[in-house]
Amino acid sequence: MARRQRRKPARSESSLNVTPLADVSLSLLLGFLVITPIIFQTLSTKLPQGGGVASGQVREDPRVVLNAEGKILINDEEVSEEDLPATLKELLPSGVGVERKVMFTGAGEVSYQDVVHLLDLLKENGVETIGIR
Amino acid sequence: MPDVTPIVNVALVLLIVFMVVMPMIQEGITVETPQAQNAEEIVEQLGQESLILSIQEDGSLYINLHQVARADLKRELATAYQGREGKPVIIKGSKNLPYQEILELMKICQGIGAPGVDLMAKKQ
Repeated sequence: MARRQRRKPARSESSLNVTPLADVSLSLLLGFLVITPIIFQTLSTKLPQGGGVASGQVREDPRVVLNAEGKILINDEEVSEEDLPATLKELLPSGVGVERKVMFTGAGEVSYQDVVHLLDLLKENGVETIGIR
Repeated sequence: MPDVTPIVNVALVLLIVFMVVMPMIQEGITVETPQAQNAEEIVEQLGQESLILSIQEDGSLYINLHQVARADLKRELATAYQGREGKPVIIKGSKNLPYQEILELMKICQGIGAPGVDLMAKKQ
């Protein structure tokens, strides 16, 4: 009898209290389920809209063309990739509150990677909006 | 006190499964997107999914996760675009495609009234 009484408390101490662990893991699980944000990395562009040119628009946006040979033309003049920043700086308005926009036209033959590379360069050099046509 | 060990087991397993599977769910249709250093990040919360138009290297088209035939694309895309007026469509195109293919998709997006397209790219 004396032996049995001594064993009992020892056995109850050996069981681990897992309730806090359950709480933590369940709330982590819920957290993952609910807030998992999906992050995309994109280059945004605008498409021409049906309404035509907005009235009062005087300024002509620079036209950037990537032709079938992979050459960059800005307002019909060939520009190398190295000269692109300087040319854009010259053509884009520098004031505050002015939308720095270019119109982009790409030849169908060039690869999509090259087009995205050029759009990337445009964004890098201060172009805020790229219109596609 | 109830025995919570099975719950812990289940919860931990679910947790690990979700941690492993989540990146795969995010990935969506596998497309090798072009690289762009200045790509902007769009954070999307659950329940307000964007419309993603994917085109793989072999030309197969997907609206979000389901495949569509080229002939049905415009109709299907217009249906999917309902309720998202004014928002851009995200185009996820393979970098090895000719630009012509993407241009055609852009024209379709324009046709359904999207104000712009976001070209999915990866920073590297």
